[in-house]
Order: sequence, then C-alpha cells, then structure tokens
Amino acid sequence: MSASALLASATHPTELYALVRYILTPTPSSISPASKKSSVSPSRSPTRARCYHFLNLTSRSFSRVIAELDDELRHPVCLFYLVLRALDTVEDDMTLDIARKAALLKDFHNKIYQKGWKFMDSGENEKDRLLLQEFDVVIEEFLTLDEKYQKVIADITKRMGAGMALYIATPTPEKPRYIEIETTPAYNTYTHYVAGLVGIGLTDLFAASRLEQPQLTSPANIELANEMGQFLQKVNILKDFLEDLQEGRVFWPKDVWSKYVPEGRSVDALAEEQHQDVALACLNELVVDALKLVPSCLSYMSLLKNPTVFQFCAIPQMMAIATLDHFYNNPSVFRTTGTKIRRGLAVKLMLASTDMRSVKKQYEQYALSINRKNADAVGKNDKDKSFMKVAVACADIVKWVHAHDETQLVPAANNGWKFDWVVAVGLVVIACALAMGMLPTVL
Amino acid sequence: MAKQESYLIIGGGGFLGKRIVELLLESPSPPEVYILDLRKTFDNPRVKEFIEGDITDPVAVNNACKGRTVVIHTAAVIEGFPTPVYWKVNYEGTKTIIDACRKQGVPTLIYTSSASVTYNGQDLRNGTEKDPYCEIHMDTYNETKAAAEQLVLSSNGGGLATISLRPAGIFGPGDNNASKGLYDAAKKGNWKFMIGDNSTLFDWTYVDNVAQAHILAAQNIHRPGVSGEAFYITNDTPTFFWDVPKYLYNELGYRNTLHTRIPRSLGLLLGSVVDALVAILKPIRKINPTFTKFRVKVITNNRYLNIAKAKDVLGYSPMIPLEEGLRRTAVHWKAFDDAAKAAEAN
Repeated sequence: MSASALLASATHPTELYALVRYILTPTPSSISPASKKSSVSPSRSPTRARCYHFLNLTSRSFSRVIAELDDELRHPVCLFYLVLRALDTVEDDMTLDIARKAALLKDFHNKIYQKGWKFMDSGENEKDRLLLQEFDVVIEEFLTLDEKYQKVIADITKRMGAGMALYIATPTPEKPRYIEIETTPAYNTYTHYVAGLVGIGLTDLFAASRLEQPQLTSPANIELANEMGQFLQKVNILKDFLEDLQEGRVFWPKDVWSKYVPEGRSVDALAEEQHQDVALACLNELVVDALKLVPSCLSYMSLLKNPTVFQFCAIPQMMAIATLDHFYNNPSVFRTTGTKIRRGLAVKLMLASTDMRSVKKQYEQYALSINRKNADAVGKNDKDKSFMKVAVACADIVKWVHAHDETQLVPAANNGWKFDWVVAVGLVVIACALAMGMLPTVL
Repeated sequence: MAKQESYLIIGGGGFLGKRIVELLLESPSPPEVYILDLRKTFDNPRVKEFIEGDITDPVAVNNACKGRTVVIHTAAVIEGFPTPVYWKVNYEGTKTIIDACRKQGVPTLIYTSSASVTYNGQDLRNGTEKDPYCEIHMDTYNETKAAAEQLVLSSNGGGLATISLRPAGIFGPGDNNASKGLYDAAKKGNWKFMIGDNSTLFDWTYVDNVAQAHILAAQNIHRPGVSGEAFYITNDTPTFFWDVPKYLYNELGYRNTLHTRIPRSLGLLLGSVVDALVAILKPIRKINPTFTKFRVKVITNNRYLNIAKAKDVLGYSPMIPLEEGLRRTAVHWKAFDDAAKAAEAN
C-alpha cells in the first residue's frame, strides 16, 4: 500500500477509511501453499508453492481475490487462472509465427496433460514468459487436481484456444494490425472466447465443488455467466483502447468506430485530440453496449449462495462498473494509458462486495452517477447520439435493483395530506409573496 | 370471418382516437371505421362516416353504435373544466355508451382508462393491475375515469365483452398533454429548472403503441379470460423522469437545460403552499396551477408499471421504442416552433 494511494483518496473520506481498514486487516486466509484443509494436493509441495508464486507474480489483484475463496475451490481456481494466463501469453505474443501460434493455441488443452511440457520461445517483452518457461510446474499441480476440476479446465482451455486462433492475424500493409474486429457480433464472440468462457468455466468449477447448486450450470445461468465475463472484458477493452492501439491491437468493433472516424481515416484518428468529439461519441456508444450486460451480471450474482464464491465474483464486477463510471465520456481514454480507478476506491469496493444488498446499492449509485454525467453531457457533443440509450440502460439497472429489493415494503397509497395542509396554511404569508409571479411553474 | 368487422371510434377526432383510426385503416384487411366526436377534426375518405355528436346524447350515441361490431371509447375531458362536467362527460357519457352497446347488440367495448386510476403520487415500482384504486384521487379527471372504468368492467357479460386499457404518460407528435406541457414549459423559460435529483423512474407511452393496444384488445377480447379485465399499457421502458424533458429540450435547441435543481423537500413545500393558496382562493377565483404538491410527488417518486399482463394476455409489445417515439415527437414540435417563429417574423 503506497502513500500515494492514501493521498489520492485524501478528499474521499470513505475511501481513506477503507484503505486504513484494509491495511489493518490481515488477509483472512492469506495466499500460501500450505492451506490447512486442502482437499487435493499434499501441503508444502514445492510445485504448489511455485504456482502461488506465479499467481502473485502475474496478478496481484486476482491473487488477493483468490485468497478469499474457500479452500476447496482455491487451488482449482488458481490453476484455472494460471493455465488461461499462459494461453493468453501465447495469444498476446507478437513475435511468434502465426501458424505456430495458432497450432499451439488449439493444442494447449492437450499440453496441460503432458508432464514436463514447457515453452521457452516467448518474446522478450512478454511479461509472463516465465510462467511458460516453467509451465511443467503448473502441469504437475494440474494433474493433482480432482478429475472433475481437470475436465472443466481442459474443456474451457480447448474452447478458448480454438476461439483465439480465429482472431489472430499477421499484420499486412492492408491490415496493419494483429487483431482487428470487424463487426459487433464478432466483438461479442471474441469477448465470449476470451472472457465469457472464464465465467462459464468458473461456474462449472463452483458447481463441481458443491459450494454452489448444480442448477447454477443450467443453460440460462451459463448465459448469465458468459455475460459476466463479457462485461469485465468489454470494460477493459474500452479502458485500454490507447494501450492496445499502440501495441497493434484494436478490439473496438469496426462497424462502430467506422461511423465516427473522418472519411478515409482508420481507427487511430480517435486518438487524436482534434477528433475528440467523435472519439467520445464512439466510446459512449460502446459504453451502452457494455451497460446492457449489467442486469445479467446482477442476476448471476444474486444466484450465488456461498459467501466466498459471491465475493470472488462480485469484486471484479464492482471494479468494472466503477471503471465504466470513470471512463464514460472521459477523454483520458484517448490520451493516457494505464489509468485505473483510485486504489482507495478499489479497496472500498472490495470491502463492499460481501453481500448482494451492498452490491445492489453500489450498482444503483453507479447507474445514477453515469446517468447524471449523461444528462450533463446533453447538447455538448453533436456527434454523440447515445443520450437516450445510456439513459435507458442506466434506468434498466435501477429497475433491476428495484425488482430485487426484498427490503422494500409495498407503500400504501400515501394519503398523508392533512399534516402538510397545516404546514401549508402556516406558510400562506410567504406564499402570497411567492405567488406574485415568482414561482417557477415547472410543467 | 363471415362478416367484416365494423368499428366505431368514439373520440376518433382526438389525438389518440385518430391514431387508432389510422392504424385500423392501414391494417392489411381494414375493417369499416366510423367516428363519433364532438367536431369533425380531419377528412379521411377511407373513414365510412365521421359523425358529429355528443356522448352525453343517448340518441346520437345509439345511432352511431347501431350495426357496429366494436366500439372503442377514447373520449374524455381532461383538464380545465368544472367538476360537474367531468362527471357528465367521463362518467355519464360512458354509461350512455354502455347502454347503447347493449341496446344495439354491439358485442365488444374497449375503454380508454388511465394508469392514474391507481396512482395518486405514491412511490410505485412495477405496479400491477392487482393494485387497488386510489382512495383519494389526485383530481376529478382521475376520479371520474376510475368510476367509469369500474362501470365498464362490471358491465362485462350478457352479450357484451368489455376491456379497460390504462395507458401511462401518453405522448406523441402534437399531443395535448405530456409533450405539449413540456413544450409550453420550455417556451415559458422553465427549461432551466428541475425538481429532485432525477433518480426516480417514470413510464411514458408513445401514442402508436397505445393505439395498437386498443386494436389488440378488440381482436383478442373473445378469447377465454380476456374480457372484463383492465390492462396497463406502457412503452415498457421506464426512464429517469427528467431525461425525457432533457431529450426534447435538447432537440428543440435548448442547451444546458435543467441546470437549476430544486430539492424535493423544497419542491414539496412550495407545492403545498400552492395547494393551500388554491384552496383558499377557491371561493373567489379558480386557479389551475401547474406547480402542485401532487406534481412534485409524481416527479420525485418512482411511477412505473409491470405490463406482463398485457404482453401475455393481449400479445402486446410496444412497436415503437421510446427513443423513436421521442424523436418523432421532437420533430413535430421543432416544426411547430419554426412555424410559430416564422409567423411571428411576418
């Protein structure tokens, strides 16, 4: 925890409080290889320790979230994460020959059963190349998992690898990017492969562990799980536009951005200051697309029964809605890379991710916040046609919260008129003054 | 079907009635369409007959109903009349129509009610048709609409099938209420003010969707369990109250609208004061204020309905989405405004 995080939250007392609480509270079951009642592997195995080392190395925020999980699920989820992280590192690697990359992506679900397999040829710049170089360790641990968990992980790895292979490309003069997504349906399919499948796989793991009901894997609920993943991915795709563009990847669908870029220009025009109006209009159209997933995400979370599973799912979702609120109509998407929500806010949201009631409250606040920004933006950007669509998407979130508000008492028709009548009579004097044309006659 | 359907649209010269007439005539196999209204407001050669007549006149109503297979009753007085007129037109008029349907053997009567028969300013989320009528109605209009609806529904049976539709917040190009109110407010300079923090949801319904619901009601009424029922009709897209005015004002060219926020509590207080003034001055002068406590409550409470019943039973689904309806409405008022300005310039 850095002092800068505290400083950034200095004007947000609730965040300061959250930060301090977070610093003072020990992690409930800190990430360590030696978990007391681990169901699968013997404690203190060196390969297991190495896996958690990689987990901490590749994702600090995720390792913290995994730490909250029940012992039964922690190890399978950890390995699920590491396998997919390795797959992702292959996908991201621009130094690999395209044919070799595609073959490896498609075959990765077999590699995880090959004891001793590792991959030494990742590009120098791949930050997680070490994971692939020592992947034999991950395989070792994967093979200690209960077969029901292995099956889920292998199945998702197979589907995701095959999906990723459809999208990779070698840059050519006509198509200068590694990834370019043509249409909105392709955007939906892509986010399904790289993130929706994570939601689906996790759901299968939850059910397999019996910490959640088997009904969680019904087709309707699997679709909700898919949308959970898609929402997270789409928020990241929006936020990381500039960074991805600089690395030669464009995930924003062409059928959307092409409506906004100037004639004859490509998507990089959005990053130019003189095109800020169209860039924001394009961003906001994609924000609407992401916001529409939120009711499904809420529905999914409301199905979860196990508190540790709930928290595990809710934390990233809360971060995502907060991120969307931050980046909606925000020019910084096109100016700077690596901007994140304040650490203090992140911690506050983590602490608020413990139960559905608190999550609903936060979502309602974010929906209102985005709607407020939306209303303030009306008429300030002629290119932006998303006003009513953002408004309706925000309203749909609040409507969902209302419909699932079990605390709400059905209010009796309010006929409490008499008391106010007394107040009103007392104010008649003021009234007379005001009535002389000073009253704003709204409506 | 052996015989062509023959529709009488009472109030067919009005805003909603006219759209019902037009949608009926645009349908693939249009029925005969008759209109009964106080005054002839438009010419349409496809309308069989535009009868000028008063719904409080039994002779006129009986003549108009004779030979019809469906009567759709959309006529009502809405605002600006003394209390007895509301009862005479909205209640007695409806009674006259029911009697005429019985006497003339009309098998189907569709009545245009209002979502406000169950609403008097309370916080209402996902309201259903099971909600009771208001004990105290917000105004005489609603009171008479509720009384007439009960009359219509209790008349169901014995050869006459009835349905009551309860649209919420009807708007459309040239409506006389919702969008006109907003247009007039903007003209008065009130586009700057809003009450509350825009955190409550409100239902609106585009006029074509309401018209469509009437036609569906008439077509489905003789299926089991449909007649004798009331149905809420909305666009199924509740939005934060001020977003709709904001949209329209923006389309009309106003910028930085609704920037002055009057807190809900202050709004309620001011509304109470106005109500008190109106009550005190009642013996001397009749005032129709626009800023009342009721209005403040409507704006700052949720008011939206669950239309599952209309969807399931009538097969209703709003054809025109909210945004498209608003766009068309804005185009109308923009043209109206341009015309008004041009007239002023001359």
